[in-house]
Amino acid sequence: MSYLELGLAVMTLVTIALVVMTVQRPDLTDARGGKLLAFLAFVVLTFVTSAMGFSTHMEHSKTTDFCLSCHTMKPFGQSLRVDNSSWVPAQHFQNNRVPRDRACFTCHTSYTMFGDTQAKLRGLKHLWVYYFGTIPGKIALYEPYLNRECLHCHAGARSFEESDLHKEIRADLTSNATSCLECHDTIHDEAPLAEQPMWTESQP
Amino acid sequence: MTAAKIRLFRRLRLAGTLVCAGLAVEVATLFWPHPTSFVVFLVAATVLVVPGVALYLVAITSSSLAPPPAGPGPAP
Repeated sequence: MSYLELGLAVMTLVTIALVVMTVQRPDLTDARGGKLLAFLAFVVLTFVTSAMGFSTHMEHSKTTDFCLSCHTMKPFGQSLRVDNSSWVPAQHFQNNRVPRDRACFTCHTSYTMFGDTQAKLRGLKHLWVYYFGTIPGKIALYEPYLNRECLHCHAGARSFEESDLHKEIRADLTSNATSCLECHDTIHDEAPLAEQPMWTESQP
Repeated sequence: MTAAKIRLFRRLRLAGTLVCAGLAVEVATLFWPHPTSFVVFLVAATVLVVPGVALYLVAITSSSLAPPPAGPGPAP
């Protein structure tokens, strides 16, 4: 838990204490200062702490630990640690091409105006299925993975732009006529996961 | 104590209980690192905190709009 979250928890507890005080001694609200204190506790602080709590949850929902806390996602988390350079997610995760603490979100949000919101709504749907629905045997994306998400980082990168093959099909990649995944096709393959050697992060 | 004041205090107590319960649940979810905690947070906010704040606002506005208690008329 970060200091910000701890501060928020303390602030919420202070708000609760002020509300309790107002309720226990309602005669305080007879005076102008008491009225202001009650308004501060009931409305201003309650709104601020709730909004900050919401924001904290939204930020927390972007973390890798959050995604992998559902056991359905465990194999996908393991695939980030495969010691094989042909595994695209593992390459990105282990070489810090995506922030490790936000690995899932970085690749699986769409880089559009409402990309974050759509990702959160999908997350709520997943939660609903997790508790009340039937988890499909094979987890799959709702729609084909767009090159836009890859190009968000790779476009302009020297290793990408100077590749002869990429130069040749650059227009097709931009227009999504050719998917990046047609060549870079080892993603979160679950089936051979048990046979793969795993990378263990060494401490500096 | 007038009936209006008793009603105000009763509403304040109920509003306070709702808000406190909602905030307590909200703060508890901060220590629970699981996707369900986000949903519990949303439920606590919408079911407890929002009605609590609304009830508080209703209580203070309706008490300020209530007519003053009838007293003896003006001196002749």
